[in-house]
Order: sequence, then structure tokens, then C-alpha cells
Amino acid sequence: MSPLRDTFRIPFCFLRSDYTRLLLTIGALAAGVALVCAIQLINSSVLHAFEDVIDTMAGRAALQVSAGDGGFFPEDVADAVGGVPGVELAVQTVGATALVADGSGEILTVHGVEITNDAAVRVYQAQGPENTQLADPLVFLNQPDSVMLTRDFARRRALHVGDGIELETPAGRKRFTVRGLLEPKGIARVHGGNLAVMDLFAAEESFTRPGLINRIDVVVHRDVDLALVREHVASVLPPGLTVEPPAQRKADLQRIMQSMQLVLQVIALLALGAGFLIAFNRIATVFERRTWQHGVMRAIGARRWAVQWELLKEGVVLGLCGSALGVPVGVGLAYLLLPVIANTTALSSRVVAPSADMALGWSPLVVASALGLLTAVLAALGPARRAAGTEIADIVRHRTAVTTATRGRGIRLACGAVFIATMIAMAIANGGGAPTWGLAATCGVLIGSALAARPLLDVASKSLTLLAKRYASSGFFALAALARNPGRTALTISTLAVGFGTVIWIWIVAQSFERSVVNVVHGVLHGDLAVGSAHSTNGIVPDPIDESALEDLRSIPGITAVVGEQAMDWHYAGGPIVLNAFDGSYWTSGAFGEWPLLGKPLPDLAEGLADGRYAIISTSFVLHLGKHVGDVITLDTPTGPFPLTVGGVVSTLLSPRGTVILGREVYKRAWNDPHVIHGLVRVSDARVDAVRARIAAALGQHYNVTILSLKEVADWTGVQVQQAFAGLYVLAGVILFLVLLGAADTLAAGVLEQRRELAVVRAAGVRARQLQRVIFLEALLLGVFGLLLAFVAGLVLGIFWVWTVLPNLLGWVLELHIPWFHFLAIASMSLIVCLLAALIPSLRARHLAPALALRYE
Amino acid sequence: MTDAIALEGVSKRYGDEALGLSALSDIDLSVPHGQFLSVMGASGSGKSTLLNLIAGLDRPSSGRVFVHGQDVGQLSDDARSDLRLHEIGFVFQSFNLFPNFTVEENIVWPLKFLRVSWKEAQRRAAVTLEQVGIETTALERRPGELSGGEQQRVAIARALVTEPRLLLADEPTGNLDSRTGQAVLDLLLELNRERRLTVLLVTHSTFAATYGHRTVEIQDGRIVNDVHASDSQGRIVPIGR
Repeated sequence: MSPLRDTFRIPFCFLRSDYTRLLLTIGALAAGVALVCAIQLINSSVLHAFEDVIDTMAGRAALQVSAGDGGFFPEDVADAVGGVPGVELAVQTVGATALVADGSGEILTVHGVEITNDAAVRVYQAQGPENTQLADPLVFLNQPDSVMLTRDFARRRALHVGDGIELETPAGRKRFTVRGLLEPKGIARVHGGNLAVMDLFAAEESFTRPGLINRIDVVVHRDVDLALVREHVASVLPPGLTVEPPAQRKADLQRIMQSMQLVLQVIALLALGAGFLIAFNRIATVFERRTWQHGVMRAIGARRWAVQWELLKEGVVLGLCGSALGVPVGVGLAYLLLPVIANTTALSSRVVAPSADMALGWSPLVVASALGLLTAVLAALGPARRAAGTEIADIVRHRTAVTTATRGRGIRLACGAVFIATMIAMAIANGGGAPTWGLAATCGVLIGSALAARPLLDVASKSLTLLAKRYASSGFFALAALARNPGRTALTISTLAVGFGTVIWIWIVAQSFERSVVNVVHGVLHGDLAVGSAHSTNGIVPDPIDESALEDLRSIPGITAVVGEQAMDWHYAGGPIVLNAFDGSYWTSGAFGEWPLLGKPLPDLAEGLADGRYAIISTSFVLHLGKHVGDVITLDTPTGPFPLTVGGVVSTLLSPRGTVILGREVYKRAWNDPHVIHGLVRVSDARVDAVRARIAAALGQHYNVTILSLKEVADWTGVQVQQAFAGLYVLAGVILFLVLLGAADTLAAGVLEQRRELAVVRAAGVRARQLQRVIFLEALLLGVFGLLLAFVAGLVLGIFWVWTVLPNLLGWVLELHIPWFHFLAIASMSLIVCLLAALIPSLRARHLAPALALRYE
Repeated sequence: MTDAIALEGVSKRYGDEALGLSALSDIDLSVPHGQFLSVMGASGSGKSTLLNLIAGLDRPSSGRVFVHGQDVGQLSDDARSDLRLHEIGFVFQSFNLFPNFTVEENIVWPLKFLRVSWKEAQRRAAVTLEQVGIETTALERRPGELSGGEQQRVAIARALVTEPRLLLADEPTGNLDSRTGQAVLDLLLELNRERRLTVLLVTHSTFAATYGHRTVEIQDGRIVNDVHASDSQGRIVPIGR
């Protein structure tokens, strides 16, 4: 007999009494543990995937020179960098992504490097005689269509050296020839082996422009002061270019992602919180029912703390079971949600999503298990203290369960304290305080709504009982049943309030995000049709295509006006922003209508935008960077500093930190970028479909474009946002499941506790069906009370998050959209959940044998 | 040698001094080791309060309660628990067996608080169960599967398994028919004789009280009668009131 088994003998003897109902508690804990485990795993896997890409793509490079994400600059900058003391090698590279043009949706990461420079190639451990099968180096260099693919990728697609592969490039669809194969080592292993290595010249031709690169990887000598070398390199760079170590990029990435990861963790912890409420409720109920047994233990000589310890062990057993079940479910959930959350993270962080592989480590599993165990022990602590501390004498003699002490005043005081603390946290968050204040206020609202359950129950049950006495006998019985154990009923209402409140809050945020994005598309993009690449690396913005597509569009009959739009990640004031450039005629021609500007713009805004004097900034730029109409912002560009006067403010969601909208002519000159993401088209007559067909025929094959109406663009964007929020909806589903368990548990406990009363009622002639109705009414009342609190909490949180937390935490400035109609659906769904929860308890009540119940009692 | 139980001027009031209810008033009582004492009285007379004070489940408002020489009122809550665990066995009217435990587990669990291993506790449980007249085949059964008399025997086994010197029995026959009740009383008497176990039996039954060497009658919180055994078997003659 093991000592461990001996230790848990008594708890097991108690726990085995009701396996079915224990499963509910374990299920609730397991669901919370599963979410925490899944989010921990996903967060670490996603971050690891992003960091892995940075690490591997950097190779041996200790520093990297770039012009924001994707900005082009001349090759000769590398010569200047190479001449800096301490620099061993300055490698010119072109980094890009390309879609395989076969409808598979597979993306290749393109890495352009001077293939003849063996030292440069070895920086990435990608090539060497032992790692590469290159058919003919001379042909590879002489032919601009040469690519090297990884063996894995080639094997998957049955490609061999000499075979052709079509890729979508900014210059249109191009056919390349496989002239070498790489072993999956070094950079060849990132993105699951989806890598194409090209010679620098060929990569420039297809993805930038001849002579322009977008990164220099800098290898430094051993034993040099990296900070000093970095300083020297920075001093030789033209304005607009930055030099930083890959580690810095990882730190930046981590900082960008931590907000999103924090949000996910908070939601997962809320699920664990709901699990805590359910476990607390259940354990308290079980301990109360067994009060006389604890009294007997004390009477026979068990010390108070010894009884308490035995009861806590039951919490430990439940916690262990919950964790044991929750962890594997969490791992499964993580596998399911990983791609979705990786995309959501990429979207919210404005980075390209890598193919994230699950990084199964012990740490997330241990943390989730420990939290599950802690939750169960904490849930058992209060009830165990109360159970072990009850007066023994009367309990032993009469087996009287201790009535829950009325703690109305204490709870009201706690409610008040939480309210004040929450208000303070909200005020600080609103005043621009750290995002953690917003999260603290969020927890405060949820805790406050949980605490408000008891006062609400007291007030509502009193007033409703008066009504029910007159008009509804079933209602009277149902209210009496709920008031029988107000503590437990209030806990259940708390669980419902927190659960439903969280769902409403998530819903408001998701709807606000979706509607804002759609409204922005309608507000900023005008025209009859939008022509853009069929490929979108980040899931929202189409990949760039060459501006020559615009000329092709202008030549199509039926098109009266064409404007090019480009969007590009850039930096300003030490952080990321987005540049959004439109051809000047967008504002001056009148063909594309008015922009929905916020506030009063400068009078000659359209002309100023077209000639490159003015820019429009986004609301998030105003919020985070404090610029307003009339202010001058100076952007670093690859060709030097570029001042722009803020001419207006508009709502746009391209970047959470800020977007600068400017004329494309100016942008093209300063940033050396001839690409566009959209060609916006005005059609001369109403035959849009015919023009669309003509565009498809003329450009479709070469550029692989999609031609959408602006409504379709908005709808498509909305769908992308919905997909990005899919992970949160899954979390909301788990929380609803937890709530269902909680409500079912309380109702079942109520039926068990009231066996005698129900038996007396039945003996007095009340029909079984009427008894069933009482249980359903109880469930409905629980649901209604819970929903009342949930709506208040959900609304407050939704508004607070859209107005304060999201701008501070993630940067997004959204329009508030409260989906009132959807609330009706949520309310109906919530009540259905409550009625479902009442199903089994009501059947038990219906099939109660009065004689048997009375005899037992 | 000190008495098993000694009460000196013990009073117990519930509520405040002026309006509160007096459950016991100025009780003096001493019970020698090995005595079988019956405490009789009507419902609400104070006999259960007396039992609770002796067991340390309650504290006297005034006076002192000694159990095996220890002033129970002065002991801490833990020390009173230890006293009950080591020195006192408790038998209740409603048996108070845990319904979800087997017979064996019901007997064994107090030993767990004495840090006895489960295996040793099982051995002692089997021995004790045989001593109270239940076959060991019942060890794996649940209390609900036993008759009332058997349940009370199991409860007595639970009280005896820690080898106490004092057994407190609170209306142990109250929930039993007369024949079964008599058998339980016979068992208590036998234990008293064979183990020199001090037994304090609280009862409202005149017949049950006759099993004691001595009967104390309580009325309105005061001892109104204290009769010692006079027959040859050591049992008192029924008072016949």
C-alpha cells in the first residue's frame, strides 16, 4: 500500500460518492486548464516561429541594415558599410515572398544573394558543396530565371533540376527554372522549406528593381565591440536606413506581440476563473451537505486543521484530475488553434505569418497544470475552512447543515471597493496609463459583476416573490428554491454573469473591429472596381504588383479613370507606421468622390496631396504620435528626410500605431518603389461586369489579379477579420460550455438538496410536470439574473476596450459598434443554455419517488 | 487515583446572562474509572449539554470539567480534539456512520488521524468488529446495507478502535427497536466489564438506565437524583418513577 494512496484514502472515500457530479467540476477545471495550456503553447510556438525566421534568415549576421520592412535602397550602400572598421562582410540581399502560381496557395520566401560570392552565401549556411546540388553554376548565373529550391519542397511537388515553376511576382506572373536543390539546413529550413534562393541580380529584376536591394546583412570580426561597429555603420548610412542586431528585431517583435499574447492570456485566465467559480460552488455545496460528517470527525477527535487538510486534499484530487484531463485537451486545442492564432497575431502585429510549428515544451504544460491545481485548492480552501470550523455539538446530534451566513453587508462593501478600484484603474487607463491598468480594470469589472450577484439576488427575489405569490405559484416555488441557498445561487449567477459578459464583450470588440475595417474600406477606397494581386501575404493587404499594370488598365475600353494605391510598412519616431500612397488624381480629378475626413482639413488639401506638400494622418497617428492638422512630420526616406504637412485626419486601420497617406508620385520618387497594391478603376457606363471581364482577360494571366467591386473588397476584408477573430470565438465557446456546466451543477444540487421539499410537494398532489416546470423556471430566473449582470459587464467592457484598451494595448482606434440585434441572439442562446442545464435536474425531479425520498430523509 | 470524569460547580448558559437559557446549573459529579453511569432525563433537561461539556465539544459558563485529570475547559481546541481522539469514544443516537464509506472505512478513519497505517488500521478494524459481534464479511458493505442494530455496533466499533478509556453514548438505543436496543446495551455492559471501560450513557429510557452501576437524573439542568447499584449484578433497580 503506497503512502501516497494512504494519504488520499479519506478524500477518495468521500469523492467517490458522486462521480457524475464530480465530472462536472473536473470538466469545468479541465476546460480552464485546457485554455490556459493551449494559449501558453500557442503563444510560445507563435513567438518561436517568428523569432526562428529572424534568427535563421539573419544567419551569421550580427547586424542588419534595412529601410523599414521592404523599403528599397541602392546596392552601393553595402560598399560603404563594408568599409566600416570591424565589418568583415556586408551582404546585399533581396528578401521577398512569392506565391506559387498553381492555385495551391503555397508561398515561397525568396532570398536573393550574390551566388558567386561564396563568403556571402556561407553566411546563411545555405550553400556549400556538401549542401547544394547545383547543375551548372554558369547557367544559373547567366539565366535570370534561375532558382534553387529546397529538397523538401521539390520532393513535395515532384520537381527536379531543369523543371519549371511559375511564381507571382510584383512584376507579374513569371516562369522560373529549378537549377539547384538545397539541403534543409540554415535558411533552407525556415517556412517549412518553402524557400527559393536566387542570384541577387535576378531577384532585383523580379522583386525590386535593378540596383535596389532591401537588406544588408553585416558580419563583424570576432572580438569587436558590436555597439561601436553599429554606431559606425549608422554614421555611414543615408537617412531612412537603420542598422540593428537581429536580437533587437526579436525584442521589437516580442514587444509588438506581447499585447496580443497578453489579451489571449487574460481570456484564458478568465476561463480558469469561471472554472474556479464552478469548482468553488460545487465544493462548497458538497461540503455543506457533508457538514454533519465533518462534525462527527471533529467529535471523534480530529483536529480542526486535520479535517481542513483532508478536505483540501479533495481539492487537490479534483485539481489533479482537472489538470490531467485539461492538459491533453489543451494540447489538442493548441494544434487546432495554432494556425488561426498565428494569423491573428500576424494581423494584429502587422507581420507576415510564418508556418508556426507546435513547440511542445514542458513549461506551458506545467504552468497550466499548476494553475489548475491552484485553482482547485483555492476553490476548496474557503469551503474547507468553513466546514472544519463549524460548531460540532448540534451538527452531530441533529445532522443539521449549517445555513449559509448572510454576508450581504460584506459583499456590498466588497462590491463598492471593487467599483471604486475599477473606476480608478479605468481613469488611469483612459489617461494613457500602462495597458496593464486596462487589464486590471477589465478584471475589476468582471469581479464586480460577480460580486453584484448577491445584492441583485436579494433585491430581485424579494420583489419577484411578492409578484409570484399573487400570480404564479410555480414562480413562487422557483424563487423559494433559489433563495434556499442564496450563496450558491449567487455564485451561479456570478458564473453566468462572468461567462456571458465575456462573450458579449468579445462580441462587441469583434463587431467593432469588423465594422470599422469595412467602413474604412468604404471610406478610403472609392471607385467602381479594385484590381489587386490575388495573393496576400499578411491576409489583409494584397501583395504589390508592378505599376505598369495601371497603364494596362488605362488602355482597356470602358475605363475612364485609374488610380494606383500602394501601402508599405515604414518607421517614424522610433516605431512602425504604414505609408499609404495614392495617385494625386485620386483627390484632384473629382472622379473618385470625397474622402470622409475627420475635423477640419487644410483648405487646399487635394492639391497639396497631389503635389507632395501635404499628408493625411490616421486617428491612431493622432492618438499615439500627437500630431494634428497643420503640424509638419518629417519622414526618413531612402533618398533623404522628407517633410510633409498634416492636411487632414482620416479613420484607417492599416497600422495600429499610425498611417500616413500621401501622394504616390512623391512616394515613388522618395522610396524608389514603383509597385501598387490596388488599381482603383472608374468605369464609364453601368456595364461594370463587361469591363471586369475585359480586365480579367487583359491582366489576369500576367499579373494574377483579382477584380473586385468595392463592396466585394469590403466584404472580403470583413471575412478576413472574421477569420482572424475565429480563435476568440472558440474561446467564447469554451466559456459558454463552462457556464453550461455551472448552471447544470447548481440546478442538480438544488434538486438533490430539496428532495424532501419536492417529495412533500408531490405528496400534496402537485403533478410531476408542474415540478419540472419549477426547475425550468429556476433555470430561467438564473439565466435572466445572470444576463442582466452580463449585459452591464459586457457593455461596459466592450465600450471600455474599444475606446481605451485596444488603442492603448494594440494601438487600434476603432469605431464602436454595439450589435444590439446580436445581443438578442446571445440572450436567447444564453437562456437556451440555462434550459439545457435544467434538463437533467428537471427529469430527476420529475421521476422523484415521494415515499422513498421522505423515508430517506 | 483521579476520577475518569469530575465536574465541579459546572453551569452552562446559552445567550446573555439576564435573558439567556440556563442548560445546566451548578453540577457537581465525579465518575470513577470503570463505572457505567447512566444519565437520565427528559428531553431538554440538559443531559446532552452535560455530555458535550465532558467531551469538550462545548465549554462551561462556569465551573470546571475534568476528564482523566485534565481540565477540559482550559485546553485548547487542538488539545480537546486530542483528548477525544486518544481518551474518549463517542456513540451517537443516529449512528453517524458515513454513508459512502464501507463498514471497514467507517471504523478505520479515526485511526488515520492517529497516523496509523491503513494496513494496520484494517487489521485493528477487523478485530474490533468481531469484538462487537459483527462478522468480518460485513467489512466491505455500506452502512445502508446493514440493520439498525448492526449499524450501531459498527458505530461502537468505530468508537472502540482507538482504544479509549471513556465511552460516551448519547441515546445509543434511541433509533432501535427494544430487542436490538437491549442487545446494544448488553454489548456496552460487556465492554465495561471486560475492558474496565468507563461508560457514560445518556438516555431518556428508564430501562436503558438500569444498565448503569449508577444513575444520575437531571431535571431543568440540575441533578435531582443520584442512585447507585444495589443488585447483585451491579445494575441498579429501576427507579420506577
